[in-house]
Amino acid sequence: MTIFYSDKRITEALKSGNEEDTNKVFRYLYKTYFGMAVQFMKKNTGDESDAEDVFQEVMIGFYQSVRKGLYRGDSSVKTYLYSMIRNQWLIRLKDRKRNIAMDIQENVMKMQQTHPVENAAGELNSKVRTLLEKLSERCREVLTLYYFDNFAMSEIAQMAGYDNENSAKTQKYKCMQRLIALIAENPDLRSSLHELLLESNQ
Amino acid sequence: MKDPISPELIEKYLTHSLPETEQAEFARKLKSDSALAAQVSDYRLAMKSAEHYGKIKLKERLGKMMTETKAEQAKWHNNQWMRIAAVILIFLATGSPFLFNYFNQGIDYQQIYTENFNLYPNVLNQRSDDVQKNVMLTEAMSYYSDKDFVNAFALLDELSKNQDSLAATVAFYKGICLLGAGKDEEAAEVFSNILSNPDESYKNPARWYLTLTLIKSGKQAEAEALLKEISVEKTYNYLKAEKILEELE
Repeated sequence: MTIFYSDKRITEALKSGNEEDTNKVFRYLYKTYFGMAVQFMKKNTGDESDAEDVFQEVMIGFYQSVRKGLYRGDSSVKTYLYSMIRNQWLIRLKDRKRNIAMDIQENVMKMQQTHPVENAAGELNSKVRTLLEKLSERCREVLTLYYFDNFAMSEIAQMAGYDNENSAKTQKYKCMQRLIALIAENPDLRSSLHELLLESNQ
Repeated sequence: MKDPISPELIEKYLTHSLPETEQAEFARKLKSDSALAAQVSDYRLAMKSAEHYGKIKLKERLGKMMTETKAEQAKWHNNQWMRIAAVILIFLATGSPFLFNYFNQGIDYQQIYTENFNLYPNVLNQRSDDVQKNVMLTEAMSYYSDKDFVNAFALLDELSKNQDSLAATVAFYKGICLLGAGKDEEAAEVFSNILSNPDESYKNPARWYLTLTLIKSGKQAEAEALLKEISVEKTYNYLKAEKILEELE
């Protein structure tokens, strides 16, 4: 039986920090809105495989928007996701530099075709994973809860089982120092990450 | 000597959390202090790496979830087709005797079975030595004679584990109990096993009871084949077999 999630319930669940609730919402969003992504892709020279990649990125982006307070409920979740799908697809096409004509109501674009650049994402993921997995699991937990999930230190202290907020802050400080040291002691990794992570986002 | 810059200050600068003037002041310092610039760059790289790692882990979770959801949806669609197929099959299965009867001028298999099912005589009572030594068997056959097939079967089933000399006899009566208790499939299996054993002394009555099992299940063609054998060989209950063949034809 499919349970209905209102927009309010969706955002509350994503803010809650409860993994089970978050997973349920992700499943709901996929069941409800993935078809919309597929339809959009097919109308714009993409396919179902593209829709899967884009939809995953959109779910991550939406999650972070909710966590950071960027999505405030001014538009419906459906509208917000649709605009994210469209923007994400535009970014991908720009990256791939395909020669297509895109007909999206207010926008018509034409681009020259060159070779797609998709290996960079895989390389980045591999380097980041290798780097972070040199830290303890506790460090990875604190750092991702803070920098990706955007939880406050008081929330992290509770979620990760620290005595208090200060203990969590101290742990975060130590973990960051360790991470920075790992970056500093490997100049090749440092310049590679710099190129892939920082320069590509500018 | 310059005061060391705290990580908290670097983080505030990188997240634009400093007041505007302090933010601008810090940016100016970076331009003239290459060591500070390198420190801030490494800090920024660490922050972005941690953020990106969170993204990687969430992407893995989403990928797994999407695969599971797709599989559930595919299973649901398959189940829908199977439900539709099952409904059709159930309709055919339940309807087919009625349809078959309609086209076969209303043969009542249950009635033929009821009219012809009788207990095979309790021959074990005649084996006084065996029965006297075996209280459980006496009890079982008492239940059998009273047509309490469930209790009779339970005791016979227990006996079948131990009484090798009476194994064939016990198996045969177990089959009748199963048939009497409505466990037609299991009864058919017991009688079929007896028939497949060339030395089996209960072969002829087993064939008769197997025929009744088939009639009860509406398996007319298979029942007719056995009835014809019984009729030709003039074995156990052959007159009844001939009468049933007439009714079926």
